[in-house]
Amino acid sequence: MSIKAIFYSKFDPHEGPKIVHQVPEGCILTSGDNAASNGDGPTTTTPSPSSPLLSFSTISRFVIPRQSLCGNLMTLTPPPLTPNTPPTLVLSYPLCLTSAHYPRNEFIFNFALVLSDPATIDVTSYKSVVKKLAHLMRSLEEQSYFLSDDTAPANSGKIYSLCEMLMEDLNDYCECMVPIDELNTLNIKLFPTLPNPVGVKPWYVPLFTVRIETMVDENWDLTMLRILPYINGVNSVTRIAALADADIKLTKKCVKHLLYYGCVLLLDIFSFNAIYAPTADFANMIAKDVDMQKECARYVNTAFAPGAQEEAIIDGGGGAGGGAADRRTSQGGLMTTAASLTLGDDREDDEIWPLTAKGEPIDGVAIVQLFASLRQGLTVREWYAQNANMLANIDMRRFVTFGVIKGFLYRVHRYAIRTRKGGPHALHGQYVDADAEHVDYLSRSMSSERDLAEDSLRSRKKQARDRPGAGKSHDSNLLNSKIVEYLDGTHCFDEICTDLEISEKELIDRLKSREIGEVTIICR
Amino acid sequence: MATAATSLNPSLVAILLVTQARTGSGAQLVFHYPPDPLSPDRDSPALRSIDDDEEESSSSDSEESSSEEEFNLFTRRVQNGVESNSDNRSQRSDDEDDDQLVKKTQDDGSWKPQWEPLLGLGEDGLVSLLAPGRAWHKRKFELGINNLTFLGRPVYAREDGLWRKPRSKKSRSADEEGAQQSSDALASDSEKDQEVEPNTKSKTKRQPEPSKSQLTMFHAVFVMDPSPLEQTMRVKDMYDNVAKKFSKVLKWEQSHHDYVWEQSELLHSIKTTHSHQQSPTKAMYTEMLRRSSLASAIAKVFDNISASKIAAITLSSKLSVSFQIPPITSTSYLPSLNEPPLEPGLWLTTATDAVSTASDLDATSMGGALQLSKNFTLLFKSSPQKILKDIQTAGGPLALPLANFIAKANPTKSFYKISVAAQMSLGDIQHLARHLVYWRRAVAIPPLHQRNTYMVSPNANINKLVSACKSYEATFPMMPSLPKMLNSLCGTPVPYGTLIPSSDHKEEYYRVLAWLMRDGWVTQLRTFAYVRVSPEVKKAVREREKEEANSNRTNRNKPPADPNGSDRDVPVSQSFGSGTPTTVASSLVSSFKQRPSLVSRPSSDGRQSISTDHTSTHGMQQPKHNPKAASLVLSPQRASPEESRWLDYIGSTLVGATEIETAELRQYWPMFVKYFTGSEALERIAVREGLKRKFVWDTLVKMGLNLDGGVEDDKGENKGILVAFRHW
Repeated sequence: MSIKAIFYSKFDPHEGPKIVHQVPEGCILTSGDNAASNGDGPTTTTPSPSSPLLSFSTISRFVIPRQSLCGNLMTLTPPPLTPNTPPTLVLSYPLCLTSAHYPRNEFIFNFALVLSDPATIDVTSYKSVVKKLAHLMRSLEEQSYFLSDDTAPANSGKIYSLCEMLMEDLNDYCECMVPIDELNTLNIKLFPTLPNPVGVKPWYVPLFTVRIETMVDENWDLTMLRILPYINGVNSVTRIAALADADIKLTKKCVKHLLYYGCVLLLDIFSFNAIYAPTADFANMIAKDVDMQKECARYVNTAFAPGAQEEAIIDGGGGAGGGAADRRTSQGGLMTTAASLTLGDDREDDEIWPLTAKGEPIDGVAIVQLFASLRQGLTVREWYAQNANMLANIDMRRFVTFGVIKGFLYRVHRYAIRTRKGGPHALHGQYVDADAEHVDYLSRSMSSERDLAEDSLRSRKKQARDRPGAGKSHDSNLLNSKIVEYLDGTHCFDEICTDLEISEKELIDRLKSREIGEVTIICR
Repeated sequence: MATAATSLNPSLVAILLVTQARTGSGAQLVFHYPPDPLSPDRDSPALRSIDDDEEESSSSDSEESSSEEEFNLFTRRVQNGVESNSDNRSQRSDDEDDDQLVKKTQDDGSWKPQWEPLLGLGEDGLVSLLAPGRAWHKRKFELGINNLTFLGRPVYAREDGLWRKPRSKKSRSADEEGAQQSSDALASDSEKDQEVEPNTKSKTKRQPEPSKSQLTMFHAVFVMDPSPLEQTMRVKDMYDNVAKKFSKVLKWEQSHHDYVWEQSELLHSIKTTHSHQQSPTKAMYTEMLRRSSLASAIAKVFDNISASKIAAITLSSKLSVSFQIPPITSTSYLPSLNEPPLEPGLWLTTATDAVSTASDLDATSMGGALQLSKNFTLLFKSSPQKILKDIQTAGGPLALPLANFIAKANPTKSFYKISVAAQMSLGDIQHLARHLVYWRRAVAIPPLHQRNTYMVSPNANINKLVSACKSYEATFPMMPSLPKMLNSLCGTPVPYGTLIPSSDHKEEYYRVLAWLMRDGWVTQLRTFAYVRVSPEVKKAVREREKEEANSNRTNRNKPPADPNGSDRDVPVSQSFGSGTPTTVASSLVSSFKQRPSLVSRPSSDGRQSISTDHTSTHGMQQPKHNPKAASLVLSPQRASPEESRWLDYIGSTLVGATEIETAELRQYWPMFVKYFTGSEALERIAVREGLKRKFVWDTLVKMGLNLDGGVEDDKGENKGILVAFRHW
């Protein structure tokens, strides 16, 4: 019952602004029966069968405005009739037609919707209803004087029943189709207002939340059709574009489109070097929700991934490793909820739990424990090493992804900043610079950080050992100079690796080498 | 939608002032600001969010508004009215303006209002709608035209043409003061002053009885263009914090000094002169802003509110008021990639969540929106010296206590400790702290401590890293660089103290930490835990029950289950209540966001709360436990009888390295158990129970707190009693 009332009003050359028809009757007080409410605030209201919502006299100047303001969508919160009247919102679209046919050469009319408390409904979706209604009425009036020739008494006749049907159908079915004459039909559907999707970055990984193959048809956008097969929760947008041989910008637009309609989620690139940690939602989700634990068990249990072996997730260093088998497994359980529902029906609860290497089942609490043991500073690889027995039959990518999808895990991204002061082209005089920087570094480290200094010294010794040969240094320098551009602390490693098409391992090796200068890695 | 609230963007397009006079000429638009609201250099936020791609959200500066209140005393002269007696500077700038004005009027001859049609609708049409009728008197007026929202609170003169009741002057102004919610000492105080001694030599002949004003209505209209999904929230913020308060202030000035009418006449005459002279808009606005205190106030409100700052305006030499839309200072929710990101640098924490701290909300102190726990402290957003200076400039009755408090405040000391050390009452301190927090001088945080763990916030504003490095280096030249500090705070979580090389460095490291916290670079990593009940425990409890039931059956002829349960319960409830009930119940906790509390309230009388819970949990959501699987005790405070038996059993089987230790563990188990709710940070145990942090932590570790290793122990068995996890 979002629409409380619909009323049709017009400017009458004799009576001024007046309501011609209103649905339901009596919901709007007209000037006849509420002379009192013109006084100091709303005073008394005559008790009427359907309790009135508002008084026309207070809002008539907005509903039937002067000619210059016609053709604008107006929304108005009328003052409450009595302290107990629920808040309402009047949506209207006054129109003015000028023609010698009319007295005073103009005809001003307005079809207005009275909505219930605007805080609780999606007002925007009704705005298009009002607009469309107004435009249809204008063309009807222009075609056949549909409105101005209406002589039916108040609250009866064609226009009245049209308003009645519109209100009932929109309230009950959120859409309506009201035939008016041979040529005109009122077709209206309420569309929810969706927020604009966030920006899609090249290193984001889309994952379907619906079975897209049941929706797609050959009339879809060509790029969209090309990229769909590669959206699997593993491939980044860049990789999808490359695999589908599609333009990266168009690919991003397509993903954004899917995102707008909620068909995909965005994830990060999974790798064994990545770090994940719990968010503040941890307690309220996986820890408390036994059903979510079961859902997770079904989603990650490799026993349920037909044909796909655990090895499907290739430890690809930085890139998103993914083979055909992997893609298949991903698609099988894309819709975590949908898939788990079907699985849940035909499996005993006891059977869903993944087994450890020793063959014992992992219960829901153990799953919570596994999630809880992911933390800052611990890569997935290290985490696996700590829990290898329990993770024996668990698809780790799915395990981690499950947490990210539900929102109780977040990815800790790495960023790098070049801390050495000086020009950006330090690459050329690298050795000299490095020495200078060494001194600089030592002086700084005087203050305290023993740990850091040791770390850094160790890595410096290592670098000294594998100082690159002169031969390959040209290419290497080119790449290094490209990397340097990303080292202002604002680019995460996923971005750098995706843009430069290098693995995270290579990136880290290069950052450690002294050619680039002193680089500090920050995880966030 | 929850996240939308965190972005600063008041979407203010313009402010219009509409007045209506007795003479019957109809309402007129006296003033609007900015001169041309829809000029293209104002880019609409809606458009901005549509084509985002490469664009990163604009960085918001944290030092905004710090200089705002300096303008508190900046009075503007009203023509042939109040002589500005205080400020030489303003007079000097007036003279300069005069010179400029002459030049401007000369250099361009053509005059036409460049803003017409105003807001795409035309001045005349708009005015006809913005004088809505008496039905809206002192009510929220909200009109949408296409994508613009016109928001205001029109005020009409009384039916008899007066602006306040003839005789009851006293009660009237008391009313107004009561309604004055600006909670700002400045505003209400100057009102009092006015009451006592209105020494303004204004043109209005000061009369004992209110005179009939020519004015019948005024309406300050705030024009906004919020995005459809944020509409409700933005409009509410603007109305509650700015539009309504502004209207009330104007009403007060109007009823006491016919202020709005005088200003409106003044502005009208300036407009008329300029349209005769055909001078350019800019010259006209320069003059209006210079000569009319109302015009300059409106301009200031517009400029500052649309920049999400505090607008401190001065209407007369005696009345200055500040408005702001209070920004959100913290959130616990980290949006996913699919959702709009948070304002970068926003403090990410659960410390201010009602949920995590609900267990010590004091029912009597629930009145204010801004509750501050006595276990919290203040973190100043700029240097205390600067705040002190501003406060001294602004004056007011709070200046002295504020200065006193600021001098004593320390981010490592809780309000309670400050109150003890400075001999100030806790209530006073909390009041002053609230004032500072509300006016964006400080945020309330749990005190910094070296035993706490801090980590780089996932919402740290990494885009500002380079510039932050510079200011950091200027502030802390002797410390490791900012990237290095962040680097050491983003690895495996360790207590902050382990980074401090020696006690000589402690102060400086705390200062760095405060700096990092203030700009949202780091946040405290807090630890939460649940008790895990393993199948073995369940089995043992079951067997023990059977045994007892058997012995009961043989000894007495009673039904087995019932007395058994209640027998077991008595020690449980006693032990749970045995903490330090007074501390638990009396400590207050801040809550910026009011959420329904999910956590039960520990009453000082544990026995009662548990016995009432019996009935509820029994009937409703007694979860079916799988005897073969482990389970978590989600809310030990309202544990079912079965869970209570498990908890008891676990407590009784705790073993330490020595006998004393064992006894200690078993003694503290009931006290600690009530914090194992998954939403109560374990770091708070020490503060709340008055224990040493180190002791609490060591005890927790002995109880099975394991934050470093894998899930299984060395023998490959999953035996943990506590499932602990950490987040902000």
